[in-house]
Amino acid sequence: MSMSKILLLFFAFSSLSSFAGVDKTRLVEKMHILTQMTSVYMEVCSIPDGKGPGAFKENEIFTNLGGSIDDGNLDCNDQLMALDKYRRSIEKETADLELEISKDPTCDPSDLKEGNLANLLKQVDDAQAVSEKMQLSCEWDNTQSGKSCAEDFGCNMMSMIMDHDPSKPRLKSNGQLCVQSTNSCIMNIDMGIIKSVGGFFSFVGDGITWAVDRTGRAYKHVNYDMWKKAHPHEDASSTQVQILQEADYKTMEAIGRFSRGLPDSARDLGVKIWNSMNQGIRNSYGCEKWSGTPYASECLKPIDDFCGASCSMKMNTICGLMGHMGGEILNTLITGSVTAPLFFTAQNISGRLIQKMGLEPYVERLAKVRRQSVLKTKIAGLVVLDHMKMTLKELPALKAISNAVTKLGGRLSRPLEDVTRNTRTTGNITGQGRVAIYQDGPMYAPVKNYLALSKEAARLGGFQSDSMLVAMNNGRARMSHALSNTIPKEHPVGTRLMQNRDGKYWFLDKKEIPFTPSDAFSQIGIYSPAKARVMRLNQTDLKLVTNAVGKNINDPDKYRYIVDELTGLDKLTAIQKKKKIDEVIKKVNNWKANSITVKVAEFRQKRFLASVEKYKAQFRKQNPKMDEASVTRYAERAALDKKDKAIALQRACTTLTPNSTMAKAGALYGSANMSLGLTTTAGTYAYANWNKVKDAEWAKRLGYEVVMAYLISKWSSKIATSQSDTYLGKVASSHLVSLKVVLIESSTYSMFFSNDDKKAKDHLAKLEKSPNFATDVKELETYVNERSGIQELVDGVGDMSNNLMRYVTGKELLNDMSAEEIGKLNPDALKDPMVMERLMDDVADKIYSDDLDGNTYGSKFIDRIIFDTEWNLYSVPRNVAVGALTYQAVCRNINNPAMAIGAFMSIQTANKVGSSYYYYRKKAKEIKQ
Amino acid sequence: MAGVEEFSIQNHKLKLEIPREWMARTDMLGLPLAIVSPMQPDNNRVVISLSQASQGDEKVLIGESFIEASSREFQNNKKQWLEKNKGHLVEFIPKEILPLSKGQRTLVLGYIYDLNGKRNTEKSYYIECGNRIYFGKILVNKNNESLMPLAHKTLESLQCL
Repeated sequence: MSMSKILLLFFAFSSLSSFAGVDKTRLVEKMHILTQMTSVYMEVCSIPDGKGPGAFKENEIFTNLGGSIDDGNLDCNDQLMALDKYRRSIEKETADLELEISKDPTCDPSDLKEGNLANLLKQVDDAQAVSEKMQLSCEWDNTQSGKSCAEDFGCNMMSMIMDHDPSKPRLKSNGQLCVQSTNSCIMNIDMGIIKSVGGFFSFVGDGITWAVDRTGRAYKHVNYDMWKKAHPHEDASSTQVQILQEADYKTMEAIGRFSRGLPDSARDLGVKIWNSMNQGIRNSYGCEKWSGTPYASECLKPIDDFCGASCSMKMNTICGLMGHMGGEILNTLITGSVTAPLFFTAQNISGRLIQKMGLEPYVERLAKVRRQSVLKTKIAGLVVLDHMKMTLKELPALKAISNAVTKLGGRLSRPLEDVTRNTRTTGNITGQGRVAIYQDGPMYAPVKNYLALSKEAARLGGFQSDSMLVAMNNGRARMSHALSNTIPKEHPVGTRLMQNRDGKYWFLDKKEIPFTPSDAFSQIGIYSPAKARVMRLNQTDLKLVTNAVGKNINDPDKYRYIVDELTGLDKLTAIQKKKKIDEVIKKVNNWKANSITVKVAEFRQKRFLASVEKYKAQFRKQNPKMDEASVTRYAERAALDKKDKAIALQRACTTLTPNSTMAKAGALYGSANMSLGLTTTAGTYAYANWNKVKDAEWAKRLGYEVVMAYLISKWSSKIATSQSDTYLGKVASSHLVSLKVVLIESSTYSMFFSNDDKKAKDHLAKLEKSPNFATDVKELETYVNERSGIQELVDGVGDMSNNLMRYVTGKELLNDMSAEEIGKLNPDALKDPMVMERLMDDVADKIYSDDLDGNTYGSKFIDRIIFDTEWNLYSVPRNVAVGALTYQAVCRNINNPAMAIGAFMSIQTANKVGSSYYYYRKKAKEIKQ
Repeated sequence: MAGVEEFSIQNHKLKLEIPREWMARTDMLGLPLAIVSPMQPDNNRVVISLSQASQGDEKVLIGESFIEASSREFQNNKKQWLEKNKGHLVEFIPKEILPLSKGQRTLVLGYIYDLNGKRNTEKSYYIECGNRIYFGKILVNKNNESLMPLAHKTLESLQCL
């Protein structure tokens, strides 16, 4: 490549860096990857005939049986579809870019020139090399437009805090109009919480208008009508003077500073949030090179996707993130964090408010956790990806590459059509895919090469390889493998189990039975030989443990425990894995009856046996002619598979290493939780009572509700969705160490499946003996008694709460729900607060209308959360637990969004209705007897 | 002793005599002006608030029908406020019409109530002052009733410039 070309490209890239440089780079990378993948794919999955792509290796699956399942399989059929889809997505991106560029008057389409592929690829290589050498700095933020964008964001925020009518133009403090974000997204988020902060401080400030007639003229005399205008001022000022009556000087000063500087403070806070988030996004998601573990170390080399984004893109992105930041704002106000030093510190007004409410422990912990990591969320990255649309100023090279790749990809279309035609019309494919078992070695290097490329493609986005797909592919591979080797020829079902192009499974029978991936998973077990399960274990790990535990391995309970614990370890890092293995060895060698470990193992076994029975019934129904021995064998296999999957998923959801399962769960949980803001207790209170006079009681209640429920649930949302230090890490670090095993193992499961009252009682008894218990209960009771108005609340929700809890714990609500209602839901529904509220009502109705017995102490849900874990009774926010629990449920059901929604709704509804005050009171009394 | 301080509410200047050791702050919690006594032994302050109820340069006075309706309207308002705040009415103080600022009329309405275990006296002042009307409020805890005259004197000292 000539120097001039390099210079040209350099110029092209550098001229873009202030606009959308890396957008382009990324697209180029994607194309590059696609090209490589396609090339390697054809090497692996076709038999070259010297003239182009040769015969397609239909149904060929390359799998490494020696490795763990996620070493990956190259399923020629699946990858063909995936590549095709990937190619289409890149084409679409390119088209989008073109469209945007075509709108840009500075773009000259005549720049577009075609070149040959090899040359272009070289250009891309060179260009990448150049761009890597370039210092990537986010110059945009220092430009005038960058600064004014932050200012506009702050301005929007100020308007929100100042409670301006959203439909009206908003003013900057200097009287100029705010530039609004394109879709005013800021108005859609967390209005309640933010407005409540401002509303609290601006009750009366409008003294200007109250003695003025409609035309703005002052009355000559204020007469009878004036009373209508005087009432709000009487009310508000009565409340204000009440607040001041007890305020100390510091508080007064703080209030004064805040009140006087409200517009500026709000704007500054907005700017600060903007800047910190801007930085945070770059530092977390937008990092190319880390000093250590990704997301947990310093970013050495940021990428500048976000730098190049336009103001409205950034605003939208940050607005999206504000969902996770909503509570943060109040948190900021309460803790006086570094983000906004101009706001109070905990010692003054809010500190006092908090003190009065006995909330110091929460705030302290919030502040503690908060300091650890606020913005390093991978979710940020997801949001960024969602919101970032590529904009590009020029793309001659890209255009040509795109065309070339499209052509190359075009060759794939033929075999793809063949496959689908076969599948659909002839039904000749029996699912007996040829399985090429590869071992490490030069012969199968292309397979590995391809798998590595696909990972890279996934990283760049657009190539589907999230955990579900990977798992599905693994499942398919295993299934195909199993089918090819082990299906009894006479088996009535096996040979007809098919997959269609969309990845759904069905039987090629007279009637099509749709299969969800998870069903398919379960089915795999049916046809697998006994060693199928062992396939999922890393043999080295197993050997390590069996060697270390000696004869213990002969104990079936212990063996089961070992196998369970070693399942899904591939989600862990090497160090974590080693820790885990050491832990397993230690536990087995010190096997203690009644320990959590043993209980968990027992619990799993109990679940497993129940699951076997369920499958038996299912299989008998499906295959009436099947003999009982086979039914049992298949059912056990299926249940085992389900159990393994559950454990693996649990591992994925609780590991300290960010993974795609978590990211998906986090996204769903985050958006659901965000929408739920308005429908949970706090949001509801603020929302429903917004028009009421915001007096002391209102503020007190709101303050309590907000701080307790909303903020904390936001906080838990943040924890749950944070990828830098996963929620468990944070939970553990905030005094909830014991939560890990108990909540995850015991509560989550037992909440839905167990119906054992004895355990709860035992725990309660145990708790009673703890030295702090009496004091805690006493304090708690005092605390509850001091809250006026709580009694009514308590009386209102009491019975329903208990019944609800009971129902949720006892009756597998989720299963009932999923059949009829939840299945119809789209996960997007969760983004609509109205839908959420409606859903919650439905769930509550459904639960309430059911015939329930009068046992008022069946509340294992709370038992588990509050008592099982032996927490300090009230210093650990229940909502954190509920948040964690919900996240768990969502994460584990992530492959089935309907179930995930069901889990989310059920737990949150239970939590909403089941206000724990009632429970605390009752429990406190009961304990005293 | 007391010092005369000048304030500005909605660009209108006014003067008040602030008792010694009392503190006056503008823009306080939405109140244009708040004056508070030092913290008393019972951990309560006397609080005075002041805001402007009229604007413009045209002269505005308190009309008869406003005064006529005042007791009824005030009482209804306060009953509702107490209900909302779970407080209890002790008694209403009969309305008074006083000459305050340079002999102009001031309507004073008040009541005594219990809230959060405290007994408070609260008085609302509708003050004609120059061309304008001001809305003042005094809140005094029962234990500090001796400070009420001082608070009253503070509002009485209002001068509109």
